Amino acid sequence: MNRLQRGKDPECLLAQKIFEQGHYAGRTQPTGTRQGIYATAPSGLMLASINTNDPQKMAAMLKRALEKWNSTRESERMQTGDPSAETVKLDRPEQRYPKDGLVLRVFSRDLPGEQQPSDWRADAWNQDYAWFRAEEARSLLPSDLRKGETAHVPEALIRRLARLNFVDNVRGQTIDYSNEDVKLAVLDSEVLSVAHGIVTVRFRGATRAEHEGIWALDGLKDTQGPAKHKIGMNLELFGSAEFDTAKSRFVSFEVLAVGRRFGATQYNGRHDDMEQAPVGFCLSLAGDTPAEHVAPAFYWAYGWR
Amino acid sequence: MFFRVLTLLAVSLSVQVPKLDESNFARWRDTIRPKRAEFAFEDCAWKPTFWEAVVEAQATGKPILLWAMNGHPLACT
Repeated sequence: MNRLQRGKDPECLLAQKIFEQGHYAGRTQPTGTRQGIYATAPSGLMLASINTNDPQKMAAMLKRALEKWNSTRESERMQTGDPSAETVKLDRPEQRYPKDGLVLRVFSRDLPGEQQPSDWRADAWNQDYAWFRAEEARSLLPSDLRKGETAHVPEALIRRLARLNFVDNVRGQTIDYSNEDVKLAVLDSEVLSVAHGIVTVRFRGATRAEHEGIWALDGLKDTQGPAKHKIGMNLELFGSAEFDTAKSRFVSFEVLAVGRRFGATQYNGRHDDMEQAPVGFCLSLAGDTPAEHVAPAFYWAYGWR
Repeated sequence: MFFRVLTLLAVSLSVQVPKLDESNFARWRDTIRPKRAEFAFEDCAWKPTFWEAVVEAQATGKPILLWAMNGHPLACT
């Protein structure tokens, strides 16, 4: 979103043209965000837009958009050139999708506890992705793929998960942990079996991260009064995976990370739920649909070029 | 004193975290993983980037639905 609002490539410029015809056009306070749902023509002609999670309002917006689409000339709706020719000018993280490596979907959800509210927050969940290049994926396993072999997963990889994926995003947007925030990051793998070219491994590990700083807590309600706060995540990891030695890639992957979180950040909806509480993450093999090629939220911290 | 012990016990139970092993793994995986109904939004043929939608919409003469959000349905980008 930040990139679309401020970038200079053809994708960003077209998005900005659309944003400035939409519901937050020109807005600078309380923030300059242009978040929302936009219906647009390929030319950048705005059809309708809204920022809501109300299905009826959303449906009404789509109806307005369709009416405008049908009442507009094709010359206004379409670009004069071929946008595919501009694709080479884009620099997107998705271009570095590790097709020969490992792509995990990382789901997060609160675990049952006595302090759960009875509204939408009781069922809240979120998702992100974790990418591993081929050599990184292979390093999750012992170098010798024989039954009983064990290995420590390179600390940099489990540390990356602790920093960028094991964050409290269950109810909304949050911040990543810095390298210094991660106090513990260990993951061990053990070969359980080898059969017909499929290596089954078990993973067991733990992570702990804490961050202290000054920020607002309650969305836009207290931006004028940021104060000192602390957040933390303390998890144990357990699960298994299968690696196809002929294809040199994982064919299944299921690891859970469960533990406790505490604290709140400005936009993660925890301002009234800051005590220690149970939380869980599920890491599983992503599919190969276009939608599953979305880059990790904190991709920029991978340092991939 | 008895009341304090009970209070401490109640607090510790409220933040109880499972010790994962083979016997309970599937249960907790199914608790955390979203259910099919929670994935209903994936029935839309979302593109991972705005530009891919622009290219396809131009080629097929269709409008675009752009979900631009810190926390859009595909992941928080």
